[in-house]
Amino acid sequence: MTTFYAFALAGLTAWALRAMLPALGSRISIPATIERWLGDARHAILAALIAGAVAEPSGGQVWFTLPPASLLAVTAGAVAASKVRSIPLTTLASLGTLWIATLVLG
Amino acid sequence: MVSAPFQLQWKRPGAGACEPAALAGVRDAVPVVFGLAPLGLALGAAVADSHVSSFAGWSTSPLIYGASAQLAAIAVVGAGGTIFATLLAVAAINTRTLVYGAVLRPEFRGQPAWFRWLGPYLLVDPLFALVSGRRTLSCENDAGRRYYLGAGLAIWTSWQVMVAAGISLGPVIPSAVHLEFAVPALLVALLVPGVRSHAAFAAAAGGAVAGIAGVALPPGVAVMLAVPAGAFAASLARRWRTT
Repeated sequence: MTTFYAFALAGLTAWALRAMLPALGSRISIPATIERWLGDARHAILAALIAGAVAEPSGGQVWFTLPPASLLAVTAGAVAASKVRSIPLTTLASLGTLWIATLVLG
Repeated sequence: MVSAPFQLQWKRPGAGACEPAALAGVRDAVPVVFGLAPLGLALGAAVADSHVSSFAGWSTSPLIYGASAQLAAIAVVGAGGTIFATLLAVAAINTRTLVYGAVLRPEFRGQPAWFRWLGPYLLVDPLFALVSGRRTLSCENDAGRRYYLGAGLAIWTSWQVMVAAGISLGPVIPSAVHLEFAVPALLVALLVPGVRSHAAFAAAAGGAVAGIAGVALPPGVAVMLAVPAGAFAASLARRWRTT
């Protein structure tokens, strides 16, 4: 049930952000600096989620490990995304590279 | 930013009249829907493979409605993150819709209150791209609203179906495909095309460092660290570029 509450509250937040300016009209204005930070936050969050999915915690003296196969897969995806800007091809490039890298590297 | 205020007035380029606007909206949304299909299917497959139940995962489609925010919510909740961390992740990712609202604000002026409050629920990246490129001064407010709703509801409906289809088909896909990697792969596809400046790259790098640093910390902490880390790195990059 907590999961649904979390998603419902997240949905309300998302809607509030979309509706705030169209609904309230000229009563709200966003300073240019804040507008820039908003754009930066999206990139930072997405990158953090990717890094968090790739990095694995390490029990030893090292804080984390980066599995080579996953690193290769993310790199291949990034190259594909920058070249073709296609979501299916990027996903395919990442998953294909991971499949091959896992076979080769174990 | 829009230079001069005008009402919600969209029409298809080259079209002589705005009628029937709702149908024109649906028609313009068709290629968008085809383009979104793989993303919806992959998102559904990622839900099927996550630690979140299929129905709860699918419910993010009508509740949150937005691929990257849905993925972030599923990733944070699936990793055992708190409600606060989920809200922060979704809010941070959706902040760009504030900018969309700012850009489209003049068009919403003069529209009925129900539309000004409920219409933005449909305002996701593809709809923004569709409506912000179809503006003209020659149509009536009603036509603009119908166009927006026609296109927006077509995208919304197909999105719900595609995610559900992905959830159903996900378990059929063999484990060698590494479907668990679909989420980071999709995130890469959503992130990379948007990184078009040094500041954006620095923000992403700052976020990635925060993501790695947060690996050994409680779930969701990395997301909270990523926002200031990204903003700080981006400010440094802007300062470096101007000196």
